[in-house]
Amino acid sequence: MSIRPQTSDLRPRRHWWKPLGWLAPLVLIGTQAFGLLASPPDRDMGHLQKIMYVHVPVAWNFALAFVVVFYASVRYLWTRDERHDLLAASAVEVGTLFTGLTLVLGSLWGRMTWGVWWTWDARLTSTAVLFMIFLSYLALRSFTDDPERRARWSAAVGIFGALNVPIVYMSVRWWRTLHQVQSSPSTVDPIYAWGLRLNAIAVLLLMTYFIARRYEIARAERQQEHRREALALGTSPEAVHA
Amino acid sequence: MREWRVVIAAYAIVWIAFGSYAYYLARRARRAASTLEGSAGALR
Repeated sequence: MSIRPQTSDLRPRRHWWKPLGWLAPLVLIGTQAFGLLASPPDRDMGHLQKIMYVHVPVAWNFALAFVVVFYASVRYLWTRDERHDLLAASAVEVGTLFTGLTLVLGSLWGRMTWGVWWTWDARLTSTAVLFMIFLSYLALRSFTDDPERRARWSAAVGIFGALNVPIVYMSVRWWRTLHQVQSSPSTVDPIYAWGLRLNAIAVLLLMTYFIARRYEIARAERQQEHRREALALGTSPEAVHA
Repeated sequence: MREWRVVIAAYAIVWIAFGSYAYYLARRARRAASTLEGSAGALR
C-alpha cells in the first residue's frame, strides 16, 4: 500500500449543516402539503399529477448532486487533496439514492399513465445507465483498499458518470420516445409550477444536509484510516497526513 | 380513489427512503465517532 504525503486537515469543523437536519424535513412537509392541497386535479392525469411534486424535484436534485461529483472529482485530480475525493464520494452516495428513487417513482407513475412499469424509453434507459455507473462507483470504492488509488479511480468514474447527466437531460429531445419533453413555466399552470419549485427547494435543503453529514462521516473514517496507518508504521498521525 | 392511493404510496416511498438513509447516517456517524475516540486513545 503506498503512503503518499497528505496535506488534508481532517479534524472536525463547525457543523453549519446541523440545523438542516430538522429544518429540511419541516420545509418538505410544508411544501408537500401545499402541492397536495393547493393544486387542482390535472385535466389528463387527474390527481396522479401530484406525483410530479416528488418525482421531478428528486430528479433535478440528483443532477445537482452529480454536478458536485464532477466538480469535486476534477478538483481531486488537480490538487490530490483527499477532501475533494471524500466530497465526491458523499455526493455520489446521495445522488445514487435520489436516482434510484426517481426510477421507482417514475415507474409507479408510468404504470398508471402508460400502463407499464418499465419501457426502454430513452429517458428511462439513460437514467438507468447513470444509476448503474454510480452503483459501480460505490462498489469500486468498497473493493479498493489503497486510498490514493481508490480516490484516483473514483474520480475517473465520477467524471465519466457525471458527463452522462446532460445526455439524460437531452434524451427526451434527441430521441423522442414515450417520456414527455421538459416542461417550462409557459407550458405549466402557475399553481403547478409553484408547487414544483417549492418542493425542489425543500428537497435541495434535504440533499444538502445528507451530503454534508455524509462528508463529515467520511472525514472521520478517513482520519481513522490515517491513525491505523500511523499505528502500523509506528509514527505519529501527523507524519502520515501532515 | 385509486389515484389517491397511488399518490400516497409515492409519497410514502419518498419518506421511507429519506428516513432510512437518515437512520443509516446517524448509525454510521455514531460508529465513526466511537472508533475515532478509541484510536486516539491507542495513539496516546
